[in-house]
Amino acid sequence: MKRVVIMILMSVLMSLMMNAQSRLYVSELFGKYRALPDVVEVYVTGKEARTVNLETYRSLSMPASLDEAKIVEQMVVKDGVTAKEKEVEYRGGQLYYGFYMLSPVMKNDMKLNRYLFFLNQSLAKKNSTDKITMIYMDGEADVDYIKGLIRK
Amino acid sequence: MKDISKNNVDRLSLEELELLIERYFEGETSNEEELRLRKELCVSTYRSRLIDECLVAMGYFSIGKRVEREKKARAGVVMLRRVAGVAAMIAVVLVLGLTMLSPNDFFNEGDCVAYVNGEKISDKDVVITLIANDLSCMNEAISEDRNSILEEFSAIKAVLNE
Repeated sequence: MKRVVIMILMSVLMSLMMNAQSRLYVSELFGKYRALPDVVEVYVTGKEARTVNLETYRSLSMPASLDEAKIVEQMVVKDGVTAKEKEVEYRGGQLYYGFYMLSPVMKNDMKLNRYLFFLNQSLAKKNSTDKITMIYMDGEADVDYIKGLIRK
Repeated sequence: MKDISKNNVDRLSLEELELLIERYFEGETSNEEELRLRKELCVSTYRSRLIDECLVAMGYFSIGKRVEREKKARAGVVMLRRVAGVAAMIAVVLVLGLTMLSPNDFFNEGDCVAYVNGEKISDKDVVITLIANDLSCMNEAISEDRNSILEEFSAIKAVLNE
């Protein structure tokens, strides 16, 4: 009985550790602010996402003047710390643009590459608007494909 | 019949035990037989009026009851521990599971939805338009980022050329 309990607890701990490693700070933001005014959240997965070589597409945009926008920026920066590759630009001490290639995760025996984008358009030199956008994507697509997808 | 005077390991049957008790009450038992009877009464699971009388006479009744109570209590504690262990495990798994699940995990495989001002939109075309807007903004930012890098390079080049 004791052995069974220890084995179950060990497996729970193992899965928790693995989950904690792959879990992102930004994942807590999705679903949290969608009821706020001027907040737009998009979630695409499955067949629709696979048409563009992705497994998941999620985005969250809101007015940059909202207090919550600061939280989004903080979470993105936190996830960016462990990113494999990144391109970031700060303006006036604030994150203007961030592209992060995060460590891949395994899902259903499939290696998923994960990408995170952040943009604060209120800091843009041209066409500045009161808006921040955060995009999360995962799938088998490589970084060049993802960048090409954005440039389309 | 077994030689009950011997201190053998075989347990007595109910009949043999009662016969020994009767002999004990008659004062016919030897010291060895009395010792055997005492030992037998300690471990015996048989119950009869004669056995109870003998237990009382030998002063074992209260001890027997206590032993029985202790056994029951021990069994109760063991059972309680097992139940508590299983309940704790279930609780741990549930709590951890619920902690790990965020509201996002309740999405189904194959979703294509958007929330605008809290309103759910399932129209695929609208969702695709929103995605296109997001990606377009990112593209502008990438271009701007690249231009600003080029501007910085130009500035550095100008300084170096001076």
